[in-house]
Amino acid sequence: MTTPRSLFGMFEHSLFRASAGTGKTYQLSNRFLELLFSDVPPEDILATTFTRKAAGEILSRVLLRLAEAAADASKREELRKAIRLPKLSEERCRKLLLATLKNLHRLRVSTLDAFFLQVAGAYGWELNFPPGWSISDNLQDERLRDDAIDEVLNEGEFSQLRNLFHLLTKGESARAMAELVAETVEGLYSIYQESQADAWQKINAPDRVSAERLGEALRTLQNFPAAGKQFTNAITADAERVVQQNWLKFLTTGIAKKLVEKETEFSRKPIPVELATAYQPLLQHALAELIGRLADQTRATHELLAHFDAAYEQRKDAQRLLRFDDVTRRLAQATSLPADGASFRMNGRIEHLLLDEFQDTSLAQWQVLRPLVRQAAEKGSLFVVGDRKQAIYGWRGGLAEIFDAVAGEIPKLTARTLSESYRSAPVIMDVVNLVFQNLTKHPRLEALAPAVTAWERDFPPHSTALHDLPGYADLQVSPAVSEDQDKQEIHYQFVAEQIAAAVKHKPGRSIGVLCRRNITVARIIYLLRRLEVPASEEGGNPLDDSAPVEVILSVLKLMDHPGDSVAAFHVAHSPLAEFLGLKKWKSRALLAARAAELRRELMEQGYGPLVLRWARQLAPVCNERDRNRLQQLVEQAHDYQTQSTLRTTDFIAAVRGAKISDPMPVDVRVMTIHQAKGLEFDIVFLPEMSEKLRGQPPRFVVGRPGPTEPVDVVCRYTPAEIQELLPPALQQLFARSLEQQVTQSLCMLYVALTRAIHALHIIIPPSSSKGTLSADIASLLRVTMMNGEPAMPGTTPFCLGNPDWVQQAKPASKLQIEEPLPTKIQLAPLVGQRKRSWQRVAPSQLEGLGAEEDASSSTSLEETLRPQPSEIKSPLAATGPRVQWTDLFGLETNFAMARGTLFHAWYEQIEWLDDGLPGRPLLEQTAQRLAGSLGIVAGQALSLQEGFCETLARPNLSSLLRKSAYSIPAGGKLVVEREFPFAIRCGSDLVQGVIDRLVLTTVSDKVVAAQIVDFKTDSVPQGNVAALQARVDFYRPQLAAYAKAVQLLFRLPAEAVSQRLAFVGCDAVVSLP
Amino acid sequence: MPLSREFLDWKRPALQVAAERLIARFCRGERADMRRALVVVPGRRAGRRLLEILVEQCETVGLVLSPPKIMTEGSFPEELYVPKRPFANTLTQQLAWAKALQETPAAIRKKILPHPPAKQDTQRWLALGDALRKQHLDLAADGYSFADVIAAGGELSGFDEGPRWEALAKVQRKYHDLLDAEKLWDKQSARLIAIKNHELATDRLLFLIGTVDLNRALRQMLQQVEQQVTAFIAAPESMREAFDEFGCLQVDFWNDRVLPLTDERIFSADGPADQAVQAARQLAALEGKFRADEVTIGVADETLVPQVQRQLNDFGIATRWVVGRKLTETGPWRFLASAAEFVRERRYESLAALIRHADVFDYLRQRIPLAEGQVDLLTACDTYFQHHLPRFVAEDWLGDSGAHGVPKLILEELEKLLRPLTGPPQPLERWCGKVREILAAMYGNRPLFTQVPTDRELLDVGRLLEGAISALEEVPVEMQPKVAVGDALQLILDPLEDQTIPPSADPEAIEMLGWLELALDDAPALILLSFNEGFVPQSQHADAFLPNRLREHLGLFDNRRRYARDAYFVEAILASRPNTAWVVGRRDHDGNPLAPSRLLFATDESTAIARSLRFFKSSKTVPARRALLTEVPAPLRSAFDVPQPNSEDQRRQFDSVSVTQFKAYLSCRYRFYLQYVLQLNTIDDAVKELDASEFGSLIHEVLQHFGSETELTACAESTLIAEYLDDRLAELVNERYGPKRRGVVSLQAEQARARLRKFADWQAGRAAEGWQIAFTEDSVQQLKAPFAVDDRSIMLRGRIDRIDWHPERNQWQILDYKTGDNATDPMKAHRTRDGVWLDLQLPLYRHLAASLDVGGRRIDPTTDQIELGYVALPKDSGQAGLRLAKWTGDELLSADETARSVIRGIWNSEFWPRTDPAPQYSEVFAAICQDKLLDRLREFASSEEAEFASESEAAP
Ligand code: SF4
Repeated sequence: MTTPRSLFGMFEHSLFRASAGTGKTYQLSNRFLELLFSDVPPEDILATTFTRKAAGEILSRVLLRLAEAAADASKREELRKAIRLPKLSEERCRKLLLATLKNLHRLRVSTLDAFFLQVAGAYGWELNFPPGWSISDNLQDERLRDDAIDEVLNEGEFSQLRNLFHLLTKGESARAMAELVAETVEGLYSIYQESQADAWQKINAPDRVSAERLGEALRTLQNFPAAGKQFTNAITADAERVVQQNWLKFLTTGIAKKLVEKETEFSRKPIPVELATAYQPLLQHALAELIGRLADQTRATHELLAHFDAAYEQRKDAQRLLRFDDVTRRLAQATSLPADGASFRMNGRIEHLLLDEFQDTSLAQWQVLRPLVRQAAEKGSLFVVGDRKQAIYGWRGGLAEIFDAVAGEIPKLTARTLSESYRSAPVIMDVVNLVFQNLTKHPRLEALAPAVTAWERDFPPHSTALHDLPGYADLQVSPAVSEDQDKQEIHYQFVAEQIAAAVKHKPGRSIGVLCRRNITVARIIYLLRRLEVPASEEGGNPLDDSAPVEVILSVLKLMDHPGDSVAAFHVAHSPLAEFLGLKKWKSRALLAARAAELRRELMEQGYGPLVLRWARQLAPVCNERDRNRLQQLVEQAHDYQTQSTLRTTDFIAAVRGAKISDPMPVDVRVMTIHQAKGLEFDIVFLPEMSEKLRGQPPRFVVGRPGPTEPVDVVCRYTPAEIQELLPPALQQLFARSLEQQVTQSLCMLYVALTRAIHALHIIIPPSSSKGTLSADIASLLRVTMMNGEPAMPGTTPFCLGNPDWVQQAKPASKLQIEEPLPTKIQLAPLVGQRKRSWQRVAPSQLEGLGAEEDASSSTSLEETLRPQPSEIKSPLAATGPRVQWTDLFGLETNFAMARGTLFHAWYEQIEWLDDGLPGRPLLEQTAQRLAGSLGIVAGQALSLQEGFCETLARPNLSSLLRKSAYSIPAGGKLVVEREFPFAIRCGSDLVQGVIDRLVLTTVSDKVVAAQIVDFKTDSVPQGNVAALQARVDFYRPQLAAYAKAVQLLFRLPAEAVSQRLAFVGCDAVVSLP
Repeated sequence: MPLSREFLDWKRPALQVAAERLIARFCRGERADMRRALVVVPGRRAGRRLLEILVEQCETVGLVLSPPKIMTEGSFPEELYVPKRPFANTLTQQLAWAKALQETPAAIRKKILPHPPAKQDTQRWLALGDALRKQHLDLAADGYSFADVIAAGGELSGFDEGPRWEALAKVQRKYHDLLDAEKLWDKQSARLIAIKNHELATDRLLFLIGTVDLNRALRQMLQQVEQQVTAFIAAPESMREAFDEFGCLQVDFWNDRVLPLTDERIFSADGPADQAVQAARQLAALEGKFRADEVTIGVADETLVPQVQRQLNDFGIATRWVVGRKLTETGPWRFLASAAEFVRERRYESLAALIRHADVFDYLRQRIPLAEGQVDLLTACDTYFQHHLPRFVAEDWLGDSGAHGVPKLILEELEKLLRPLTGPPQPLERWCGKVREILAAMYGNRPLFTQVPTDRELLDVGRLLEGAISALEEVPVEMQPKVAVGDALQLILDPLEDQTIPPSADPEAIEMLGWLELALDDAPALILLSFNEGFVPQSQHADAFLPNRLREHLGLFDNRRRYARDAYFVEAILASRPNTAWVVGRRDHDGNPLAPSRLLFATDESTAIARSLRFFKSSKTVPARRALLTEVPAPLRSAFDVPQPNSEDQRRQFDSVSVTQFKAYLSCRYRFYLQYVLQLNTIDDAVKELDASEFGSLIHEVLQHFGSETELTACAESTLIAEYLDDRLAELVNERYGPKRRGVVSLQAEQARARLRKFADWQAGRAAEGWQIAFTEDSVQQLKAPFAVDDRSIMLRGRIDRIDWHPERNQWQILDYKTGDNATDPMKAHRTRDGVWLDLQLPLYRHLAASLDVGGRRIDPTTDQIELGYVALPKDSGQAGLRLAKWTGDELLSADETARSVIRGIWNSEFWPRTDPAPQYSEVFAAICQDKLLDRLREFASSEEAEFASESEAAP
């Protein structure tokens, strides 16, 4: 059954502007279900978002709604309405659910990154990805970056480097050069990647004036006929500035300033024309200097980044590592992909596209998506959802403008706005409306006005579907601060107390404390801990916030640097000192020796077990939290092992660099607003609202020809007074940048306010005594929520709703904690031998064990195979080396090996020589069978065969293979087993091998004696007794093990089993006891 | 007659039943002679287990067992035909594919590889070759050549890859030609030819056990010997229609099968650690009914293994995972890898890493005798590095032999050891002997005992390494590229990267097995983890060569076959094991969501709906806390205290004190104790450039030279001064950091130069004003002056950067150079607004100055006009210059009093308590003082640059 719409392929192309909490995932799953109900094959649908968590939520939501519809009539009706089907039967839902579950693996719901990765995997050869590439993890990437920076600083022509840095650091001589590069790369590499070189060269400075003309102009100025005291003074001051080359001061004060501003008066007196003319060359030069510096620095920055880029790319390429954004960029630049981006090799053509959180799409991502979007618009359907009001990832490359651009690209796109919340109480929505509909009432926005006005204009009034949800919102002002008190400290102390009160009075409610900066998060966590309010930090801290972890890190440090007395002292005074033998921290020799031993332990056992062992030692004296941190350290150590290096300091750096959240489940979560995106809390605290609307000045500003086009102008940031001197085009760049900053700030405020379900508490510090409004968030809140009144210390100037909302709210859903772990695991006792997975022993591997162990006599086989415990403990105490590593190396040439194999195969053909020599045809046949795979050519085979026959002609070997060598008891028979395989159990060992030749003496079918013959093709020089003896000793344990096996197998007494070692090369047959 | 099928039923584990049947068939009298039998199992573990069962069963009934040949699905075919040529090893195949690709005309190759790597880039060509080798392997296993894909693809809609596969087919022909020329074969081709020529024959009897998914080539081979083949099928006779004539799965049947997996056996867990917890829980739920060797923990996602091992270890339960330790973590591998790194560039870093290798360290330790009292090898290198910041290890040793003696010896030994690894690019096999040589030098003479675990591991590593080394030698000479040592080592090490050393047997351990092993496992209890989509079953979609649609069409191993196999496994496991638990994870290692296995929904409709509701609803439960590391109940407070000062630890008596140390005591007496009483210091060789103190010391030293040049000190011409300073700076940098220093050091020297220029300007002006430099610091001699405290006296020590004298004004100025990036005001630096002294350096200089004989005069602090101040040389040149401190006489007296109280404190060993939070965050003592625990804010506050203080390190 198909719906009529699918017959005509008429899915609407829709773009949803979905305000916070308005159910965008619901809308997206509607579309997905709509497509599924229309029998669109799963491969044809692609839904993407930005985190795997979100992708998982979409998938779960689709399946859950389908399952609910299959199980419950009212849910079914709800679904029917949502996807606008005329009717929807239970059976249809069931069928579709089952079919979808069966095709779970075919559903494409993923992050953009994951999808791009698939495309890249399928087209790697065409896209010139390094063969065998993979995605670098953070640690790898950090190392690559560090190495690349290192290369930039230390390789290449120094004079070039010096000139570059000369331009870059003009006017300053800071010490830390490596840091400078690291910061530049950190902040600007993404801009570099998005721009061409010429974008960094668009700052045109006027020409500098020649020294002569400058000198001349200066003299003219100095000698300018008196034109009143003010003029004389000003001119003198200006001249002084010129002499000092203080160009900025020159241009921003006095007469020069007026001239730059094209004014004609100074100090309310007209500026004489001759004077203005005299100033001209100086003005020009000053501008040339200042703008020139800006241009130089911008250019030099690009050059530096280019150096870095070359080094970084080369390193990544050499290690065949890529980052996700490399993949995206390469795909964006690719021209060799099929037009639809993904088809045959992608296992299907994507015709229906569902794009979530579209406002966070980066330019490069959009470039890759664009053909798919067009294709979907043409052949299938397009569904885009996002919210520019929540575009807070600009710093990560998100380009909210794309959101609007897509509307322009796609002709029949229906835009919808969702502004009814399914999250927040009416009170919260009232506050949101109050704030965002009144932004422009702020009287002092000045340069910020355009951005704020635009925001207010685009803001749709919000409402909520949850009319009855109780709620409360207030704005509090923290207490007054006396002279000697730290303003911040008082403010945050107050904040922490408010949070503590909420925890106490509203138990079980989730609380989100949302901050602007990481440092504030840390501060609040710290204060809450002091108030004994458990709080978790989103993203967490590095594990070194725990004392026992620090102790372990010090041990590791000491291993790397035994001369580090700080670490030695720290460890010596810790509970680990005794255990590790590190108490005597002043004894350098001891430390060095212990460090060496620990390094060996680490190499042999790895980080996990070692750290675990130490952690176990520390655990008894640790409290709950420290134990958790230790446990996490142990986990981190296990994880780290695969990346481990020879330096423990690398591990320490990894621990100190990785944020790991405390695992305690708690009600209070403190985080930055960025991290809060997509989350919701019963109660939200906003304690850090004093940020400037214009945010932090960016390091560079950029311009684009169109909103969705690559950067074409880059200019280093420069303070306002210099901005004003710049050509209008550049000034505009700064203005636009400011606009973006302001928009971003408002987006942050919006995201922060809309996280609340029931309650919202904004806490701001008291206004300054004058109570002036400034261009910051707090002032904006004062304007919109308190009519611009000053914030009086310790007051609550705004509140709305019922502070006791908890009474009316549904009871808090208790976090269900799983039943606790068992304290003990009981297994049935292991009595007797192990039932499965026995230790394997192959006698041939016993070669080389010491000769002094007489395997066949007194000891059991088991003992033969295992050295005594005492030996294991001190291997060196045993009488001699058993095996050397070099024994493994290139012992036998391929040819010698082939010869051995062939000889054995030939001996296998002989039962008794008494029956005559094996026939040539038989030998040849045997050889032929093996020659191919052994790589033996015909000529070689022939000579080998001759050699073989020769061995049989020799006295000792030939008699070994004759019956006459055996005494046969009456009624007995000789049975020869060749290449006799056996497998027996010996304790919990499984002994398994093949005996070359086993001669069994049987009496009435019962085996009464056995002789083991082992052929050895080693080249032992004829007559060299010592060499022969050494070989015999070498093989003795192997033969002894055979003997023991034969005894057990045929239940023979030891004396009934004899052993012969046949060295065929020198015709030595040695019988072993 | 087709091969015969025998149904084993599945009420009992398949291997047990199969073993019984084999014994029944081969038992003659007291012997169970199975030498004629060839048993084929899917994997090695099943083969091992079968042998154990055979041995056990024979033992029980008293039979002498001659075991059958047991082989895996992948290896048995070679028993059925006689290969006429040796097989090329993997490396040879890779090289042959690479060469074939290289030699294909560019116009054709373009269709496959539009951007070929550079000709000499062996690694890349090899990687490409390997990719083609794998396609070949995949296709040939089902009897296809690349050319076959063209036709087959044509039958599919949307197939636009014809030209590409045509080009690939050409490459494949070339590949075959190359191997032909060397008279070599690859296995797949040999098999196909044997099939084509009907060469398959054997007098053995073949028994297939559990081989439920055989590829086409194997089937064709079996067909040729079908008379001798018996397939044991682990399923009841009643399920005949679920298997084909080879005993393999009917894919459609199993794709539609309803599996009897019931809800009470299914468990869910959040992340990997929680799955491990669930494993413990399930183990506990067995209530001691099973022994350790009767339980198997199945891990569909192998990354879970460490978590599970650790978790169960906490309960005192040992586990064994076949995979064991990665070869890359073993000593020899690390030795080769780091030696290669060192030889490549001879960077100091790689030397520092290499000497921390336990084996290398022992090797060096044996060869480098250390005199009594000499610091150890590592500290010697650390110290050398800290002073000279070398980037490369080169012949030009800096400093005196005391400083570089040990590092030099180390380098010499290493060079001796690694000499074989030098030399120009050469054919592969030439490197082999050299690599063996250095391995032998490092490990060769060590006696090894096969039964000692670490020795056994070393031997295993040796075998693997030897295998990889000789693989290089086996490559036909014609195909050997000439490579540099780095590439050669890479070729040895790369194929070993995923190799592991099997762990030694532990009789007490519970075994952990991968998913594929479970079907033929026979432990009565199974706990399976990660029963999730993507693991069971796995699926593949997009692919550069064979996307799933194409696989499906060609009949290659595809998603449906995967599903069928896993569905069968689930049912076979459920049927033959009394106890199973299936654990479904919700999130993976990175916290990303996991979907439940599709197999969970292979059930009736209402169960499927119920399970959907269960698994797709977001879970609100909080996972139970992981078991703690100890059974001791946790105390409320951890017992980690900041170690209190202890008179036994004290290294020195204070009969003198440096004027700069007062600041430290005033800010924190405990940290003063650590730094100056215990004289603790830290070592960091990760620094990339000069830190503030080294940078400052450079400038100070240059200025000190300047001060001693009497000719120049009175000079008022800044360019002359600057020139002099430039020269000194250049000399000094060269001496300290060598001519081959890091570029960054040279850059920093440039920055220092800029500051010295500014100094020159200032100094010239100063001379013009009539100031004379009366005294400058002496690098050797510290100034000393007695200082009365109560009825005792202590020596004040210190260096004064300079003392200027203005004869006309009869004025002294005692000055200190400040080289921090930001200019500081001496008043602010020394004293708070409320009059609390923070630092006493400048005030105490008065006393030091009094001890001086300056050009025949003495300075009397009580009568003479003395001014105190800084000469700032910060990064911003506009801020450079003199900054005088203007303290009143009374204030200075109060400074002296403060100094006295500090000295009393020191004498009385008042080093406690510590100032908390730390007055200035410093990483050095953070661990001891627990700074990060109590107040993490410090970490964020930008720590101001440590000002250079030449006295700080000096002992009395
Ligand atoms: S002041 Fe003039 S004369 Fe004196 S040293 Fe300097 S340059 Fe020479």
